[in-house]
Amino acid sequence: MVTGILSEIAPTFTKVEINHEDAVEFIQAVNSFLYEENSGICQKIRQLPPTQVKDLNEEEIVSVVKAYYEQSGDLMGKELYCAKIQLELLLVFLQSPYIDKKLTALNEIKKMFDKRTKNKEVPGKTLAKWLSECNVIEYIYKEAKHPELISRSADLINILAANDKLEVETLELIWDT
Amino acid sequence: LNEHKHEAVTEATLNVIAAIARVLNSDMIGTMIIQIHKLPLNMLGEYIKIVKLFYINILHNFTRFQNETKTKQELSNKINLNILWEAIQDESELSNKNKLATLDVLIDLMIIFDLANTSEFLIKAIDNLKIGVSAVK
Repeated sequence: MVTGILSEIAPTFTKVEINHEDAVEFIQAVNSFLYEENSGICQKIRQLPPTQVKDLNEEEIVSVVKAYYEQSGDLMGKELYCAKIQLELLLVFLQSPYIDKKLTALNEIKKMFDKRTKNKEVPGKTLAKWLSECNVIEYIYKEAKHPELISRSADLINILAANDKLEVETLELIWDT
Repeated sequence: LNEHKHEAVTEATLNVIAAIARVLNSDMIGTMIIQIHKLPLNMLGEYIKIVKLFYINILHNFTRFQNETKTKQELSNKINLNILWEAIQDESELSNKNKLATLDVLIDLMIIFDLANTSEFLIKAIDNLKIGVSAVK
């Protein structure tokens, strides 16, 4: 049963019964829904004004994700939703005008990967897919072009390589820098 | 300031390239080797320590291909340290300091990679030292 915030933004899932065989498909369906243009939380996160982004900190990220987690009840795959929301916040951090936020984002992404690799909660390929879809490497090398961000990008590239998501085009982009 | 930032970006980028050499597949390593070989001599000399790290990390990566003799051999063939030798011999692009640093790296890499033509390179290097590397600019 879906409760709280998710029942409001994802009413179509309230009556879905899940067995293990359908779990993967279900999670993918919910993820797709969460990533739709008008999907509540993620949309709001993307629209955070820079002034609010500046005032956010790591603890607040955890707080937001935890609150979301608590309200998602027994929904299967909720860890994955939380990870997605946290990544959405980190993307906003990375693309903000503040270097400390950008660095925080990269550090947190690496921590998420290390933790999830260790605990096997969420496959590393999920994180690699997100890095690829959000063009994080491209952003660092084409737009940000900050030495500190570039230095930390090796961790992200390792995540891509470890999950067969590193493309020759990405290497060429790095080289062209 | 912009110039310094550009240098910092270049150095950071080369460091990333060197670091990720450990995790690339053989095709990507081949691509990166080609790119390294295309570096202008002055850049090669300036960032020679990073280039050395790149080559050493490739060597580290070879352990992943230990069961693929063909792949390992193909990669070995692609590693051409002549580019370092050319940089040392160049009379206009590199400072003496960078030439000597490059020579140090070349000798280290020849030993590390146990290249077939190590002896030939070493003899040339010694000959060059005899005539005095410092004789060039």
